[in-house]
Amino acid sequence: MSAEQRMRRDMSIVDEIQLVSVRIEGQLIGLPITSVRDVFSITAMTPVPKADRAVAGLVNLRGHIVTILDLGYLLNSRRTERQSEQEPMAVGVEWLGEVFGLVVDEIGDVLSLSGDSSEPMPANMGTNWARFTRRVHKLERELMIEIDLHALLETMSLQAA
Amino acid sequence: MDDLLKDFVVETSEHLDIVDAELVRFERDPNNSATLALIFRLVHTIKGTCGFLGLPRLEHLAHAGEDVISGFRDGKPVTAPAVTMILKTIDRIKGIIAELERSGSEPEGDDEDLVHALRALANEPAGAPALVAAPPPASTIESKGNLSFQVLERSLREDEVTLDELERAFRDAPGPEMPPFVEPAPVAPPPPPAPVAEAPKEAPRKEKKAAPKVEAKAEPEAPEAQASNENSVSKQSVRVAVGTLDRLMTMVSELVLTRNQLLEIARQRDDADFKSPLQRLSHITAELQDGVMQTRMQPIGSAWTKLSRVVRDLSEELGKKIELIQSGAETEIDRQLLEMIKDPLLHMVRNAADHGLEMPDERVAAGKPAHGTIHLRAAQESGYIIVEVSDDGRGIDVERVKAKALRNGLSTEADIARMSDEQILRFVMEPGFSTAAAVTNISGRGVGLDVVRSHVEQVGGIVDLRSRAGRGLNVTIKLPLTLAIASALIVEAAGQRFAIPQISVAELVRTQESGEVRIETLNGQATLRLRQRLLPVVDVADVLNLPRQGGSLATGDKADDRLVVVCHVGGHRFGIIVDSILHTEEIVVKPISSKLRHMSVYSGATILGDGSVILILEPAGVARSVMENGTRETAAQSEAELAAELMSSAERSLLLLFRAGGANLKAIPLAFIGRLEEFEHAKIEDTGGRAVVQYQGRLMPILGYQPQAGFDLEARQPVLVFHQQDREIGMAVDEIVDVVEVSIQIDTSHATPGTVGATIIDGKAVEIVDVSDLVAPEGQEKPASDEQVDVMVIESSEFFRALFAPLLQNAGYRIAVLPSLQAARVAIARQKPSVIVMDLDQPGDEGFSFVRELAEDGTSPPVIGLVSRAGPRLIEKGKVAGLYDLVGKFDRQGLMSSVGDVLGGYSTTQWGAAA
Repeated sequence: MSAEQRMRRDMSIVDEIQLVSVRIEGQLIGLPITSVRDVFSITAMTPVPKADRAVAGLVNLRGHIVTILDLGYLLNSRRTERQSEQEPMAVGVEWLGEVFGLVVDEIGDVLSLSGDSSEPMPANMGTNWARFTRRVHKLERELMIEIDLHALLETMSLQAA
Repeated sequence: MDDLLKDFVVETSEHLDIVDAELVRFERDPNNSATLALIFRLVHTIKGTCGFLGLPRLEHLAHAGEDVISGFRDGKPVTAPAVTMILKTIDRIKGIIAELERSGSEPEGDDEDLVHALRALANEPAGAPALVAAPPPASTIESKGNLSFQVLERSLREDEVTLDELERAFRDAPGPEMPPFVEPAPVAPPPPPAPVAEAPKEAPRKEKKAAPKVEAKAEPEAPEAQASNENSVSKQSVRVAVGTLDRLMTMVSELVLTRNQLLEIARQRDDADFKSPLQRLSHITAELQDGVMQTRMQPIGSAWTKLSRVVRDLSEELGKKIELIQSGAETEIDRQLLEMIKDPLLHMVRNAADHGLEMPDERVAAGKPAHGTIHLRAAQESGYIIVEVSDDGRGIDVERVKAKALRNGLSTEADIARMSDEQILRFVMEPGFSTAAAVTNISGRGVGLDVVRSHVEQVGGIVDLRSRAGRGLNVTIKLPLTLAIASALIVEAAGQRFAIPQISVAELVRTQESGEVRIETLNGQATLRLRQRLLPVVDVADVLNLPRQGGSLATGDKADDRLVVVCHVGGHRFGIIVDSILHTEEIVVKPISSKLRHMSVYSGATILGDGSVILILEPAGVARSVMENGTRETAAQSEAELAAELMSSAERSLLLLFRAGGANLKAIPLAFIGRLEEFEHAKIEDTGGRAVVQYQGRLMPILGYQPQAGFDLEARQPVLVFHQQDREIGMAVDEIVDVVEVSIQIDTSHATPGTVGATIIDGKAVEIVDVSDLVAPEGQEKPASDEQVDVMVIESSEFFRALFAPLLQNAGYRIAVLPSLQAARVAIARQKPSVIVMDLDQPGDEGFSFVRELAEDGTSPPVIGLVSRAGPRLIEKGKVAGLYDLVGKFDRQGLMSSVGDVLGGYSTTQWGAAA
């Protein structure tokens, strides 16, 4: 059994996985539905001066203060250009008992995928992409990257701010 | 762990704390049968419960301890070793309980050692000479048989115990022997140990064990009032899990927020129907908030119970006599805050016992009572909780703190000279600062007071130190009533709103370009001139890198009409510049995200009435961020910049500009001035043709004073104060103009009597006043050129030669002053100096190579290098070259202490001491 085959077999054990699909700078990205709490539009955001640039700001989400992170910045290490027509959307995720909002350009459907359709990340992706992603799902029309939220939030190098 | 066991652990821990405190009290006052009864009951309860729950180890220990205590009851003398032994037993029980809490079962182990010792105590004949008056012997005879009966095998079953107890209870029950028990009560009424706090703890005990026999004997013994009080309160209180209360508090906080939002909406819309129910809602919310906060309140005394035990142990260990006095133990404080200040309190009490209080003989010699006193005080004052720990020991020696602060590079001579004693004392709260000469078992590792400060500041509190030399130290902690809700000032900077906690705000001022209150720049840093004092100010927008229209202060714009929030944090006053001040609001402090927690400029975030999120600024963090920037810049300097720094800024120094006797500006290096003072003309007296003033309890002569013509005695005379060996000399001036940092290029050809030369500052000629007469005594001759000297000064600048010579002579050293390295090479062999003080600013790398040359020679004296500013890189370089020390040219104190170290025979180098 080749290494690739073995990996496929291992992944198929994981079986079905449900991913919330979002889009950042044209790229389709999947977030595991188990860690997504809600989806909301960002209305009044308070910037946090001098904080890491991945921190977009703080918002009041039904009486709770939620820290908004720029997912595009975390992945691409540059601030995302955004069209100003509409209010930005955020996906609320829970990590270690704390809620973070990830800014995205667009929010799509919840997709049920099986491990069969996926492959590990190609080696030529940027370091951040390789670190924060689990695998690539081959959808009919395009590729969707499944994010490893834990790795993303844990390794976020905010302490260096 | 099952619930029963959990309850037991909680309850027993509480009981043990009380026993601890009570025993210490009992040791001092063994005739107090009420205290003894209380102790006995508590230990007995522990024993009983252990038997019930099947905890043989605990039961065994408690039983043995109880025997000894019952021996006291029966009239045995209360000796210090016996109390120590019981305290030891209690410690062991605590250890077992802690293990029980962790693992759910008793740890393996054997307590035979303690049990044997306790039994030996219990079996000792009661006739031994008593250290203290024994209680009336009435019950002694009668209980004797009982004692031997108690010493059974180890495996007592619970029923046996109970039987035994029953018998004892029966004998001790009110009967003909009652009067002797009641008798001592009025003589020494026990300070009721915070009955309100204690009652709930007692309630479940009574329910669970329903030990009527215990009560049967306890009640007649205890003073009537205490017993009835206990009963009534215990029936009305319920034990509630802390988590429930915390959740309740969170919800009330949310409710307060929502109410604020509603009020905000109601303000905008004028809707009468809406208004009255809203008012009611507002009212009820406020009451609910009060009520819930009340449930979280605990008397501060509950944190103090441990301390009496700590003090007792310390006094044994240190051989000091220490008395702990508590007042205001009933002051209520938020449970969460109480937890946070427990450790700081312990630190402070330990500090007081170890460092503050002197040994008994020392105290007697100083005319104080042999036993030292530590006073714990708590009170609620104007919305804050004030907790005070004071001792009547030796206090903190301000001079030693000064010296240490200088050596550790925490401050400069010039800064310290301007500080009040209170500010100087605060250095002891810097990390790693300890004035204790020796590190002891108890404290002195330099981690004491800075821990106290960080703990207290973490909860938004403030620590203050007051020391009276030889008479004691007083540490005051000021805390907010609760952590959850705080009053805050809402300000705006660069279009963004921020909250500043009200507790650290001293006042708000508006500056004007030419008004009383104005902002000026000193060395590129903004300072606020407020009531003749200079305060550092920081611009929030600058600190936070916020873009602002109209330029910032750092670029040197003298903007007028600024709003400054003057903050008082930890003895330091500083200003925070904001664009506008909006209003004050009660805010619910929410912790900031874990991803932002490392940012010291924010202490949290909150949601305002209008629903928007704002950040809460931490004033101390804001101020610190500016200071940190300064140090970081120095550290980042490259080698090239280092050389440039050495050369170019060679003689940059702070000069005080003033006018005296004429319109010309005069200047004196700030480093040589001890203090700036102002005296009322009325206070300046004439004695024998010399003007003098009472200053710090002594008469200080004032030079150059012109008596004012009759009127306006209220006017104040500015005076420069110079320190001369052990006294001060004042110099009257007409006006203090400014402090400037300039690179001095002194033209000494214009030196006239009383001046060392002139220089140009801002295009104006300024005379540099010769202060050598002021800082050095007259009539000292320079030694002949071939005599041996203590200190050789190699300094090319005539200005500094003129300054250093009197300074060192003043200290009693024989000195030789040489202008160049060439001259020095010849002179060293002849004059054999014990130490060389040299200016490192020599052409090329000559200065350092000269140092290396001397270092390699081996027989040469140590060299102290002088630089204009001793940065870390220079220090490193000097160390490599073999310098003994590196001192800033204007760091007079640093130079003197370094020279003193060498000549005093100390061989350790003083790296990093200067600057």
